[in-house]
Amino acid sequence: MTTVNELQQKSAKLREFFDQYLPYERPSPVLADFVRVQHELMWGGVWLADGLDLKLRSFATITAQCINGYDFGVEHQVRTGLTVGITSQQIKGIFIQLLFYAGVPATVAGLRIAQQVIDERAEWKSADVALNVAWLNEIEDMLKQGKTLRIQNWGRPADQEIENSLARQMVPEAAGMVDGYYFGQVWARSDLNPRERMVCILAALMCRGHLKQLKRHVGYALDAGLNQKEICQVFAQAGWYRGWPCVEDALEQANEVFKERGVQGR
Amino acid sequence: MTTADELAQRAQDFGKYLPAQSPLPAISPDYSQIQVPLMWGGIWQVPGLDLKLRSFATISAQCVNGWDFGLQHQIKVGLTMGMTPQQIKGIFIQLLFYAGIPATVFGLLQAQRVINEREEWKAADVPLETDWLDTVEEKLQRGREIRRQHWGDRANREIEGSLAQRMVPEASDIVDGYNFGEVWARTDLSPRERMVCVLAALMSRGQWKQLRQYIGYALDLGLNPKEICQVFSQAGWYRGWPHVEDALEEARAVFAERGV
Repeated sequence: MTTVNELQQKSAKLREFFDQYLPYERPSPVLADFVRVQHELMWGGVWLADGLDLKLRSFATITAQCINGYDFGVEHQVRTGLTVGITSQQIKGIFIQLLFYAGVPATVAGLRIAQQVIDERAEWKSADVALNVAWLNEIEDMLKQGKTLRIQNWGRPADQEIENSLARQMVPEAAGMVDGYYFGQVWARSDLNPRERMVCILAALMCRGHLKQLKRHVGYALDAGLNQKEICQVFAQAGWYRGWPCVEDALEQANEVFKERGVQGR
Repeated sequence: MTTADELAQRAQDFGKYLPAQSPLPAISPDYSQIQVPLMWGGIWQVPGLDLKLRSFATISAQCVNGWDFGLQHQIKVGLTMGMTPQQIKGIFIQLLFYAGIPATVFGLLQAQRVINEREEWKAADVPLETDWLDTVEEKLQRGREIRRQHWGDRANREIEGSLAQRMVPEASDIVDGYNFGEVWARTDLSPRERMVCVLAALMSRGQWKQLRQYIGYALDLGLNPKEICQVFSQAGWYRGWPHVEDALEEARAVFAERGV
């Protein structure tokens, strides 16, 4: 049995940690009920559920907020992310990754907001150094490198699925360039590890409701080493910020994949 | 073999369409290293869809996205490519029926702001001469005729048998009357341009069944399969690449049914 009292205590502990950095709205007569629900349910409950560490929760949440598109929400979660120890370069890395899932303006808005937040504190600012990246010149080489990385992270069946995508068949020029840059350059970057990238992808596909593609990527997430519980927790975490019905839809896909692969959901 | 250098060169040639210096290279040089060649040098310049139609698709996607800076930027790109201020406004009037009121209001406000930035755009911003019909029945009648002309009888049957027509008939008559009988009758945009906006809007909102219907109408209207696919890759780059895959699935099904 979980009591509200327990949730309040957990929430207070977590908020104490965040309070160093996060400007909180204090309960006002107007907001009192909302704040109470938020504190108990979100900070004391969703964020502290077992099975997914705080940093990965933060990756999922930033992604959901980026797709939601409310400036204040992205700003708040970028600050939260920096507070739980995500580096300035990793924050920017999330938005570069999302260029391929949420579209140009979501990434541009995310990067701009990230820069504003990073500039707020000297320690975040000083950690904001450009990554050393080996840029390839030939699209062919990018595609080759991307294939190697895909096979490493997700395995051969996934690689085949990507190479046979409808985009590759029906808009081959654009899809070749997109896949080249995405798998060959973005996945080669050292700012985020494959598990972190995978969390962003799952959250993004769930938030936009691409359920078929989400299903495939739940499989890739298992291949990349996330366990069932972590995958489900990514959905619960991001879904709290995008809308709870998204969780149900995503879990339906996850459940099918777990059954097909013979692994247990919980 | 395509190289990143070639794409960057092409992107530079494209610079005449790009109105403002971006703050992004300073924030994330890596973002620019990817985005400039891939988008301006790559996706915008794939053969099979002309630049203006790409701009219509992009403005529609940006309108659905709802980021003011993104929409303003693309309105500038559109005007620079030779769209008229009335065409820009025409896009948002068209989208009233596919993206909802606030998207249209938001679009028109952004458009006016951008148009007022330059004398030549402002001077060209004159209202359209429109002959408004008096009754909803007349509008429906003209709408039916326009649909028959552009999309054929099958489309007419589908639209007249829509669930909205059956289940919310009063509202639906008025909406269809204004959309097909007034907006599609306007001279600011051509039917091809309108269709590109509609395809981009339905894709961006993920309305897959209705997208499938409209892919058929786009073929009826004379857009070819390559153009339709390119509308999706263009708009999808701004809305999120997974939308392209979902849209192409619908397109493939329609192309197969029609044997194209």
